[in-house]
Amino acid sequence: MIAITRAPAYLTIQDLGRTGQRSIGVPRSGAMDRLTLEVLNTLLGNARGDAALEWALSAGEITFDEGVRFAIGGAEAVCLLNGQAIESWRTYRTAPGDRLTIGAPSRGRFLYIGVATGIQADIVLGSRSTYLAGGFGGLHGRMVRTRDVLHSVAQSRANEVRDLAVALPADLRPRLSGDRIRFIHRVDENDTFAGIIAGDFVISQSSDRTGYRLAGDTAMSGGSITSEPVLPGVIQLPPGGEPIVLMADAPTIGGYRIAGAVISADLDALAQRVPGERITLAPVTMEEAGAALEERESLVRDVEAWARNHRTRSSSPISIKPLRP
Amino acid sequence: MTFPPPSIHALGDSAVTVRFGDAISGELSDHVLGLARNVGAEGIEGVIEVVPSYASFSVIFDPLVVRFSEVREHVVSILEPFRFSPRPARGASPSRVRLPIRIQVRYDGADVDEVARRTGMSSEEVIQLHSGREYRVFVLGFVPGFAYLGPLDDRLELPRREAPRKRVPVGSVAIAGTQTAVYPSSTPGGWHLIGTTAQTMFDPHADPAALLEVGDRVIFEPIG
Repeated sequence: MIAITRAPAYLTIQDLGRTGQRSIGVPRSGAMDRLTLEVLNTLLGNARGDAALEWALSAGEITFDEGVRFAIGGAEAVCLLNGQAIESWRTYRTAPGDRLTIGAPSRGRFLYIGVATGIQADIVLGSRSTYLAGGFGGLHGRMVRTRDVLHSVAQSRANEVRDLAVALPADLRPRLSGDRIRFIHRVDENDTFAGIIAGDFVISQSSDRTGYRLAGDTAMSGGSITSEPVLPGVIQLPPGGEPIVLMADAPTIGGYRIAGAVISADLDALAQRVPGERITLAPVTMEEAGAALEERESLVRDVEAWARNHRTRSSSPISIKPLRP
Repeated sequence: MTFPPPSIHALGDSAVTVRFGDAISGELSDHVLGLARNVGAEGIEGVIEVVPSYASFSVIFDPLVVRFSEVREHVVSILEPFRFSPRPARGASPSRVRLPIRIQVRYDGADVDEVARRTGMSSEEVIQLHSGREYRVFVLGFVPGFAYLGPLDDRLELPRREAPRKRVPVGSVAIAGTQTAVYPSSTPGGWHLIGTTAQTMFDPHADPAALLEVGDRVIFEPIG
């Protein structure tokens, strides 16, 4: 049992979200920083897309009423387990009554708390993710509040031997930095409009799980269009001209001009930028986008390989290699 | 008629959008839906979903499985036979026969009198015009299950409210511009509320979750 003894301003259950239902208007939702979720789950021996807690904005506290293995990652914050400082990207096992205190993030925006086997929630339209605007997923479609009680999907596995803290090597941890956000311009053959944007922008205060509004000096011609399908990452140019980058909870269609879309590999880094931070939008080719995504994928694969090796080493102290004939 | 030539462009690294200008018409909607179904039926590896809208559709794919250029090539070859087609493309998969869906409406919306006043009609005429025709589902979006229906009778055409409501009750039947819709959940909204329905438009726990899909026909029936 995981009791929320003091919830932060914004706490939801998220996994990797929903796919294949955009035709009926169901957005992806899911973790804003998917890379952190994937790596955290892998560190815990979970499936990549298991559900975790997405924690934002302010401080709070969780009490564990049972032995649970957990890890935190993503935004930086002062985290204490029974008053003792703990680190990100390291697994800890709790004893009943243990208190985890999490400070307001000092760097980055979304912090994730993963537990072994994942956070339990009903699977709605293929995902445990909370979609607040639709009122479904996660914990009854709403934010997790103080006095809510959560559970892991299953009691930790019987053969679990890693009671000690296990730390992910530094080179396998997702980096929180990254203010150069790459995107692909929309290239039209017949349309008269091709929104040209690039350069420096500041993340505006009106930025949330639906979209990040960007403020910049560059004057851009925004406007309305007949609504087209859109996705997380799409850069819209509304009539005011200040771009909006659509994020996890964005609707499935949009009626603003489209300048392009942030590449899949850079959406996690963008999600972690807070209002007031400066970013640079840099146009890249499809090839560069592909290479960046492969690089992101290979990090998760490396973490998987590391976790596999680590598990083998710690659970079978005597390892006998079969002799080659 | 022939349809405008499509523009094909990247929507980031995980989608291709095919767009036939900016028009909103039943024939173009049929054409878009037919082509979208053809692309979906192609079973291109890595393609997750084909999403239709009014005058465009997007092919969403997993860029770790298939490249943009491959998806684009597939799409171009599927579009080719329909390039100069005077008739809307028909979907490859035999589309199920869907009868018009009837939705019972109590025309008791908060704005029905204002709509009557601004359109220079009586509220009875407003109700008659709204319920007197079959609408087409052009697209779903905004929130899950929100179906944009049209076209509305010209005489009911009004711009959106200047001050949107913070909370439109679930089941509200509303109009704006040339379209009408039922709010499937309680959300902010700027359309004129002319009625209410008890019909569930979206239930995430049901299968299918949405009552309507693109291409469906809808008739509103006045009650009580």
